[in-house]
Amino acid sequence: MKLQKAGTGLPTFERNFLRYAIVPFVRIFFTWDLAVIFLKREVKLIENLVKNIEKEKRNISKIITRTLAIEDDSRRNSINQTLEHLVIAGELVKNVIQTLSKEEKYSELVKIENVKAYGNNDEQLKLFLEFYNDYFEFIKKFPKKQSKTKHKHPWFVEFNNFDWSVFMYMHTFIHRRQIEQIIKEIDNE
Amino acid sequence: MNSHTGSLLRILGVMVLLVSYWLFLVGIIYSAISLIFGFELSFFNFVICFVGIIIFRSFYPKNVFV
Repeated sequence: MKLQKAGTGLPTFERNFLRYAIVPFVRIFFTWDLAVIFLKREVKLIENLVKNIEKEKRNISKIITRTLAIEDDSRRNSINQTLEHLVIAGELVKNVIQTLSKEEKYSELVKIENVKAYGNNDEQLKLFLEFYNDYFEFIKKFPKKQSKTKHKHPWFVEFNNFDWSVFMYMHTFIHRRQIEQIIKEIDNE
Repeated sequence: MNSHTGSLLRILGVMVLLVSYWLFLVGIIYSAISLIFGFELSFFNFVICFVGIIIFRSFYPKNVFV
């Protein structure tokens, strides 16, 4: 089965739904602390899902049914690759938040194809948990002032530092759903 | 139920939770102010306060306040 190439993006309706319905809602109803609470829950859910899967199964690459807000190319990811992507993208988002908070422009364009994972590290769950613990420490000490400076996500509008912090939660949620789908399809084999 | 539907339902659940959080917060503050200043508690006024908070959060200068 031939998948669309990395960076192709989402179907138009899905992209517009997220951009014009979800993003405005999130900006009104989320706060910094609520975003962290929801993100911690997602990390816990992912840990509980993955820790019971045998290490060999975490490296199985299977083309799954596309889940919400996942682009076509990501359907091939294994559990470990999904976790690796969350770490790669998470590091980038953390750097963006730090830069925007100083009211500085983030110089690099965020490109979907640059945050893809292709490895299959047996210790990926440990690396994932270490990254998110670091992120929670970072955001705990972080002065919660929204920036004027913004940086564009390739699929959505320009986000300031607060928007990016909420994006961390939304991004982790959609990949948690992807991991659930991968596990379901591996179990159905 | 497919994965898309499951995700949408979960998103809806989060939205309901968040709206409930703000309703509860506004309710507590509204009740406290009404009791302190002796205003009559009114559901209509509570709704006005809630809508006002939403409008405020939609348009306030975000880089000035947290």
